[in-house]
Amino acid sequence: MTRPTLAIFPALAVAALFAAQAGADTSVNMQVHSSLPISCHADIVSSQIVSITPLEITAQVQQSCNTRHDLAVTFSAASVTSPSKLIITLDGTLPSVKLSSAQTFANLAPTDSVKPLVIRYNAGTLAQRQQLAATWGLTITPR
Amino acid sequence: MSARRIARIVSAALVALMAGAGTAQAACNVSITSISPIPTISYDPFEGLTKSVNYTVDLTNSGNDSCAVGLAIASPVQGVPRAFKNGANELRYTLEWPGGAVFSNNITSPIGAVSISGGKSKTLTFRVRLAAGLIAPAAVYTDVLTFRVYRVSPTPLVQMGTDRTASAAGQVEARAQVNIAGASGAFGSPFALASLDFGTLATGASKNAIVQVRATSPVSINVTSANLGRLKHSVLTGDAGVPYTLTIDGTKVTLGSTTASLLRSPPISLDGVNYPMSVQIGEVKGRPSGNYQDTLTVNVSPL
Repeated sequence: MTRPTLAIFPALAVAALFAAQAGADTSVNMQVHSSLPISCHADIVSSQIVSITPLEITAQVQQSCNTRHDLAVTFSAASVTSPSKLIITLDGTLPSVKLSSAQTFANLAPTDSVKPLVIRYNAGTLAQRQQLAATWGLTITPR
Repeated sequence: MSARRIARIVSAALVALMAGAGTAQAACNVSITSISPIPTISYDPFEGLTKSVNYTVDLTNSGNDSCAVGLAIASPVQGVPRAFKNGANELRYTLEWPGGAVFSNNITSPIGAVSISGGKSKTLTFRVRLAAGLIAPAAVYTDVLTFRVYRVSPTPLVQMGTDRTASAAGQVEARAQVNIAGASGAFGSPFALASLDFGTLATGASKNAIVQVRATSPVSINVTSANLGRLKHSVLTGDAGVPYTLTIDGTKVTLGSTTASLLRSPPISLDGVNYPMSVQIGEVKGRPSGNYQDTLTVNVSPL
């Protein structure tokens, strides 16, 4: 919020400032400063199931994060019975951390971009692949 | 009346005249023999200091009798407060006797009583004084002083010698001062503004402050930005930062390259003038989180 600095300034006090201030000089420094808080969010812009057997999903994900961050693709652990068969790439890059219910692209640089995400899973039952296709999501975590 | 008697009367009269002449040579007869050059007083209105210079006046009593004399000193226009002048501008000052008595600006009003023995000289030191708190445009201001000696004792008051003149001058230095004022201040200098805090950055946000300037002449207000008009990230030094614009007294100040200058003619006063200043944040989108800052240096130079 912008404070109405001039409006609240006592005019007489301003006028008398020089008289009261011995430190007035030919040069003065003023620091202008501000801060930008951390703000991150990720969205699935679009998603398409290319095939269900094997499962292949192509998506566009938007990352908007003004600090280094982790982007995790989450899913139900029950839908992925063979984690080693689950291949996820973000803009062609493999994740750095793989867990039973998430694969994480860690320590990403600040960005405000849309990137392609591909999920491939050549295992499990049809029901499990359908569950994976229906429930995968994104979590973004600032570092 | 016989011729002999007439000769006696004439002789007595001559003796009396001669005696009278001898009395006149013995009387007090003081004149000003010299006045030292009066140094020009250099005066900075913003120092808040009284400034003075001394000069001397030599008096000589060419008579045989001692007496006390006073001095009157007048400016060309008498009966008004004494002032150095430069065109229509003036700078008031006082002339003081040793001890502080102030000479009135009147050639017929001597002050002081200095005893000078017959055949002796005396040097008196006087003072030209400019009080603190005066303000005038930067220039040399002058006055012409007429000095007159009076015998003040024994009475009656008698003008002695011939008037002498001397020039006196005061120089108001070209000075300029600047201060940035706002709603928050540093300790010890109320309202002085050491920083302008925008809090959370937002595109288009603006803050106001006041650039206070006082000067004895027109000034150049020079502004430089350490980061060339950008708030730079405190850690990510390679980041482009957030641009901002600066406006002073309605004029946009370009900070992108070298020092930007504004020419202004503030009123010649001790209070100076307040120029509004506004800082407006540019596009923030895409900038990394963290602290951003820049340092503005505002300098004023008398022209």
